[in-house]
Amino acid sequence: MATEGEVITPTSLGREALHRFAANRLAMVSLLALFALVIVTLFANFLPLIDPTQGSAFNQDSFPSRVHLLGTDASGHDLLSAIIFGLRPALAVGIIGQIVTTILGVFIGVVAGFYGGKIDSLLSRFTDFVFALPTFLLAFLTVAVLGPDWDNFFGGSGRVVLITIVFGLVGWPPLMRFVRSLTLTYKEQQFVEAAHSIGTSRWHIITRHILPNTWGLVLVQTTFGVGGFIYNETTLSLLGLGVQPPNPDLGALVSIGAEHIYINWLESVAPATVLAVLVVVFAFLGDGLRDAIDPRTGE
Amino acid sequence: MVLLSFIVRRLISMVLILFGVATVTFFLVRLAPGDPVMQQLGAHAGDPVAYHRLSHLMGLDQPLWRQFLTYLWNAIHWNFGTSVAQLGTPVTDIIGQGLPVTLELGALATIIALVIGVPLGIVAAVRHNTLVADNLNMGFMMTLYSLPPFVIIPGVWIVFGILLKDTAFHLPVTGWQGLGDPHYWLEPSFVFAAGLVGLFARSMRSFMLEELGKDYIRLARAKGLSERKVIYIHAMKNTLIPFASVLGPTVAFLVVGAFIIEQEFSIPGIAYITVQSTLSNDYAVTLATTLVLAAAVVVANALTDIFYTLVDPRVRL
Repeated sequence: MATEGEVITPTSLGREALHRFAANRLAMVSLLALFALVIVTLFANFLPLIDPTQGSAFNQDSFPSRVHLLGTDASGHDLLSAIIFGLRPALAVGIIGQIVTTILGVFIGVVAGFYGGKIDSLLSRFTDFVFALPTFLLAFLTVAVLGPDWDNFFGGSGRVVLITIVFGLVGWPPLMRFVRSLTLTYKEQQFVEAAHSIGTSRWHIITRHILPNTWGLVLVQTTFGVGGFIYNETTLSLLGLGVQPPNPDLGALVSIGAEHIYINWLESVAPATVLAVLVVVFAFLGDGLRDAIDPRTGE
Repeated sequence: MVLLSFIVRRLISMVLILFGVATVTFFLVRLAPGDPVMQQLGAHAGDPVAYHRLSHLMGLDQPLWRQFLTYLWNAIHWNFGTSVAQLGTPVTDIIGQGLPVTLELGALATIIALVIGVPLGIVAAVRHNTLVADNLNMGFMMTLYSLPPFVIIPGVWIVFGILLKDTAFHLPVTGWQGLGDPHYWLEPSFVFAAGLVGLFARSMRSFMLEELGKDYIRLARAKGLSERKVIYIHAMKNTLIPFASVLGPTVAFLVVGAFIIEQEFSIPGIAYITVQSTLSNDYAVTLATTLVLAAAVVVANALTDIFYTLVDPRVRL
């Protein structure tokens, strides 16, 4: 937030947004937390962690010890490394799925908004249709039906790929509508008219003049979306449709841990906390980005 | 006339969407691995005559398009065939057992969320930009809204199942005994309501803020009405219309939530039945329950749109 009575120095929109974002403590903490989670997850293989798929029948549901810093889960897997490796499917589905969604939404939205007419009404109808589909139910059914087959693809991580594709393919309509309406307003503005008048090609106008103006607001939507995808992915794994054991997955860890809550409460509380942090981080990050990029909508 | 034609168009599009959902789910389930005929044959699995007879009985020897039309025709007449896992039980009976449970749970959650969320949203709007009543409150509501409800379940169990074990506040961890026994529904319905509380509070705050900035509120204050009257009578009434737009998202939210809550608390509602049926490859049940839940979402969205245009004629037709 800009303080009043400040001496105003010339600055760019982007830099102002950056300043606003940096001044938002909650958003900065969220960014740092997310950064830490992603780094740890990416480099998990190089950390001195116990193999999370290696169970032990003699050391189940144990409390924290020197060897197992967070204890072990119901099958004797090291809980700390299971949580760290279990973040992978959640982050992969959330971030990659959201990238797919963003590409689809932005592309379809900008084409519909820019070309208008028949193309627009056709694409908008299609979007309305996909938007009205009950996304979670279709994802649930698809993964329930096709999941077992896909487990064998991509070296055992086929199910994550399948979930990512499904979410990515059905999640784009809100973004499409958003980008379409932005495009409609930009299209009428003078900088686009000017570009037209000097003979800039349509493609060039879209990529160089309209899209750059949408990135900030699209980024906000995308950030919120990642949290939503993680929500759905972990819900699927809670239902036993996510990554299959012995490979760790956050949702499954919470669910199985909760069944053993009378033996060892940490088994469910630890992964649940990490998952809560992960989802909340994206929500606060999105909130902070929105306040920074588009301060008017914060109200 | 414009209004009527809008309603008719919206209903037609609703039917088309439902048709789309039915089509997608039908062909998706046909891709499922495993042969439903072999699954039912049991000891007769090696007998080709029995195989042909059963597949004829199940209509699986028909071309796919005819199977699809039969399925649609039967679905319209509330007939989804029989369950494989619970041999011979009509699927509609299974739905009939699960649906009331899910509806009860969803209604409880919605009521709880309204009672808690709406006042919190109003307080945040009235005390706009104060630390506790607005900023912290809304930060917490944002957290509730974005959290998958199952992350709070372990905490709830530890408190009410373990720490308060020998007190009057002890609550059973799982199970369902109908609305008559609040011991069983208190935990699941409050956990279920958590996300909705966040949704309602945040929407109410923004609708209320919008109203409070309008001229008629300034007039009401200027003529000396008490602040209470201004907020609860004048502004509140006008937030009800935009608040109706939350109905559609609420139903979608309840459907996803039902999967989590019923699974974790072992409540035999329709979402629980859906999950169990996929585990036992009982696809006739999966297909039907998915369609019923999907219909709830689609119909709720259509009703929201129609209601909205009825009460607020300014909405684009």
